[in-house]
Amino acid sequence: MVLQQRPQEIREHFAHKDFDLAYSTLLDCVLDSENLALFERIIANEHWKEQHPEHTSEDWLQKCEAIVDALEELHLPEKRRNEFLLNCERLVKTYPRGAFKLGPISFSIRPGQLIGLVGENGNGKTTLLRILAKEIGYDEGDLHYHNEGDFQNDYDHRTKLVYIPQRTQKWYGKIRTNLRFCATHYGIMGRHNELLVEMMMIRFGLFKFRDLNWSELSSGYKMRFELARTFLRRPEILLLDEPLANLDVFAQQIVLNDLRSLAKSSYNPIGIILSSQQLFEVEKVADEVLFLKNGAPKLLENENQNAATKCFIELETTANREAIHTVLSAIADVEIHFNGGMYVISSASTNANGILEKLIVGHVPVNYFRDISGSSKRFFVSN
Amino acid sequence: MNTYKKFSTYLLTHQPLLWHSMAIQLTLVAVLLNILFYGMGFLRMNLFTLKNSYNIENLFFNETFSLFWIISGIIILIIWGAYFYRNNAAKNFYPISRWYFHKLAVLLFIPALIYFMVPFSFFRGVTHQTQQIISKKTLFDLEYNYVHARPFLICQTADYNCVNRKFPQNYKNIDYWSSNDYYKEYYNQKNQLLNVYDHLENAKAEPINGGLYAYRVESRIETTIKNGDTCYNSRNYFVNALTLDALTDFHQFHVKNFSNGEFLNNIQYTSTRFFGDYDYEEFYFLKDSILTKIHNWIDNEPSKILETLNDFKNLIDQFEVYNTLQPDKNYEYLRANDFIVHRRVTKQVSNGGSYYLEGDVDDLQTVNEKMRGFSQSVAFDDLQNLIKNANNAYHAPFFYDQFLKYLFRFLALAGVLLLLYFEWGSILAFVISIPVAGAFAILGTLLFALAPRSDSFALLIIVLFGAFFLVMAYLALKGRLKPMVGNIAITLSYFMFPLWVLIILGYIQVAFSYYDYGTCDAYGVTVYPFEFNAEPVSTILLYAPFVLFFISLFAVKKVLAKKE
Repeated sequence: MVLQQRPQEIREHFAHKDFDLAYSTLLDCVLDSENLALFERIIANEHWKEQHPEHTSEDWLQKCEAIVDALEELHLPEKRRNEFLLNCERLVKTYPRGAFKLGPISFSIRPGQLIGLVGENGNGKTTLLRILAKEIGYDEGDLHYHNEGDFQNDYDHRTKLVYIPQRTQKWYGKIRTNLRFCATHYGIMGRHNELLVEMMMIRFGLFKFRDLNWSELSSGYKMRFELARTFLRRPEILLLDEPLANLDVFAQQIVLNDLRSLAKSSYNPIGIILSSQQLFEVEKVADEVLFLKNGAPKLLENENQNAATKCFIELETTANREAIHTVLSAIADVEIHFNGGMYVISSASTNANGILEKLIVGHVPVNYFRDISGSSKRFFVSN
Repeated sequence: MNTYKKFSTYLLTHQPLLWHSMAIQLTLVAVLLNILFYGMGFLRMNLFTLKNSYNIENLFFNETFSLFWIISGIIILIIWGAYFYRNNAAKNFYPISRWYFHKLAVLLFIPALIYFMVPFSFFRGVTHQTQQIISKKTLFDLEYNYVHARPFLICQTADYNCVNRKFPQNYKNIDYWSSNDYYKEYYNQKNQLLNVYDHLENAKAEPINGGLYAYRVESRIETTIKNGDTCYNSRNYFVNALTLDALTDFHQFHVKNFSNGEFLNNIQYTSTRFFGDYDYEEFYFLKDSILTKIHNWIDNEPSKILETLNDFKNLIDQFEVYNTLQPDKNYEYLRANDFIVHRRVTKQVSNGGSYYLEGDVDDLQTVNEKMRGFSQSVAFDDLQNLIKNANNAYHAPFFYDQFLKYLFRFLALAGVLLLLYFEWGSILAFVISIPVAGAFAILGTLLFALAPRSDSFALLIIVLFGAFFLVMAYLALKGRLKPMVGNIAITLSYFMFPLWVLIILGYIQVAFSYYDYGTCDAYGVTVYPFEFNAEPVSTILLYAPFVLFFISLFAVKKVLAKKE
């Protein structure tokens, strides 16, 4: 969506009373505009909200719409999108004594693209992210970044590659101070620095914690702080290792939506690669999912094309195995596996609807039913 | 507080390095420390200390002030280091300029320099308080009277010096010590021996502290003296007895340079310096001009002697110097004996005691009992300390003599720091810097070998440093330096390099200057070339802040190297 269309999108969200979505979109638009006057108005609104806890949604809406009006009057050029941000070809990393081999892996990422990296523990997700972040080297293949010629050395390059490890480092001092320190190093000085940091804190829900120390934040807000710090750095590629770990379901949703929204920014789109064990959540927001099995990659898109005909179902029921067998015996090639908590049913001759119909007709109580044919989850349950 | 916050925010959003390095806060703390120590010096100094301290220049280092200084420095460094190391820009891969580390070094150099000025501030406090206690004019009067009255003070103890001579015969009877015979013997052969030392052109004496001669001997003479197992400490006092040969050498040196051939004119001076109390203030009165005046008084104006004694008594009373001096009786005794005081000579025995060799002991004892004498042990010490310390406070020899040397070392360290930073960001510079360092190590080793003194431990350190850098250079040039080994080597070099440079600097100074850094005692010669004339424990304490300074500063670099 081009920048000029976004105010309309915000108005629609407000009209449908999707206030959170509307407001986060508004904040993204204002951040993209890099207009300090708008920054000040947003910050003033936040202060007003703090000082008037009894305010009505109409008051708030009115203030927001005034900003949307102002936003409409701005004419911002769209940034040119690069062909690719990162391109790796047959990348291989071998650990000594044959302990583990990653790859060969080939994929590329473009601005605005979000790639999910999934796989069981010990299959190379973190290793791949660290290679991409230039933390460790690789043995074979090619790894290219679109702007690599601009950098004098790896350190210089890493200032533009942001890698957030699974266990983020501890930060000392107030979160606002740390964010300002970060922004200053990226050339954002003076008043611009102060306003942008406030905006980032508002965008990531940290505004009310602005005077707290990092150690006083909960896990979810620590991750948001990390994201705020990351986006102040204006990265072109963001590499996240298990960002959803230790987050509750609600926090996971917020973080994922934030990531998707920021990746798809009209003005400044970035490429995001994130690893996670939260398969369904990642699949919901990712443009592509890269599944790693024993270090070997499987791009879900390709796999889906190869095995599109086979259906995989997760079923949780109180019925016993014989009852399920009896009900599904009419399906010729059905396979039923029980992993201790759930049944995994697969068949190439029918689809999810066909299986569900048989179960209902056969009066099998269904507590949980999910079609995982298009999900990487099937790689975990098959073989 | 609000202003501070605004200022801090301004720095944070405009000058992140200045904000993060806390250079301004560190500078303020360093300035405050200087003010605090100035106050300590001012309060610490008083008349009692002036009279009882052996040397006020050592107050700072001998008392707990230096400990407080060092501990405060270490605490500041630890707090700062922890703060700086956390979340620093390099650690987080924030963009930093090519000169980031250099700027950082300069920013930290300023507060560090101010911090190292603390001993100076302390001494300035001491000086200013001393000025309150005794003005320059009073000090001059005191010195003048002391010098002129001293020959006529009849003392209780054996150390009679000039008074024990028969006036007006000028030094006809020389003082006897166990080595007296040797003087005579070599005196008789002086012309012959003088020829031996004709080449000693560099020998010279420099007046310090109001005209008093302290002998600073050039390295060639020093070498000669060293053959007698003797060395000077930093104050140019002899601290150990010479062997016969060395003693002879030194006498001849005096004969040639200071006595115009009149060896006996200075024999008292020399022998006492050699064997007894080496506190030079006691010998003011031996200056030729004063002796002439004294002889004139004895011959023509004896009443001047009484006048001088009275003035002297008034002055020492003013400064509460304990004494039982009775100028009238003292003068009467001298006059009754035609100003001839019997000699009293002692001989030291092996257990450190002494006994009388000759002299009219009974007469003197009687006089002393009648007059209760002038207690040397209390009054002379107090007076000499008072004059010496006040002079030191006024002329600040600590600052000019010690502190500048000490500051020089700090500057050398800072130079090393900057030098090491140049390798950052350039593998080529790094590869070059290692063999250069190795070459310097070899050069240092050679210098050490050529230096007049040797110390096997320090030599071993230098050789090991040289070997270390050479091995690193070889491995680096051959491409065999694994990253981990390289990191270890770099880390090690951070510890070793400044220490090594200090040792080299120390030996260069030993080789080319008047100063030495050794002490000489019953255990032989001990050399501390890389420290501030301090004992080994003090050396470690003094070196600790430097090490911490380097660790803190290089920590960033180390992390950077590791990640790259």
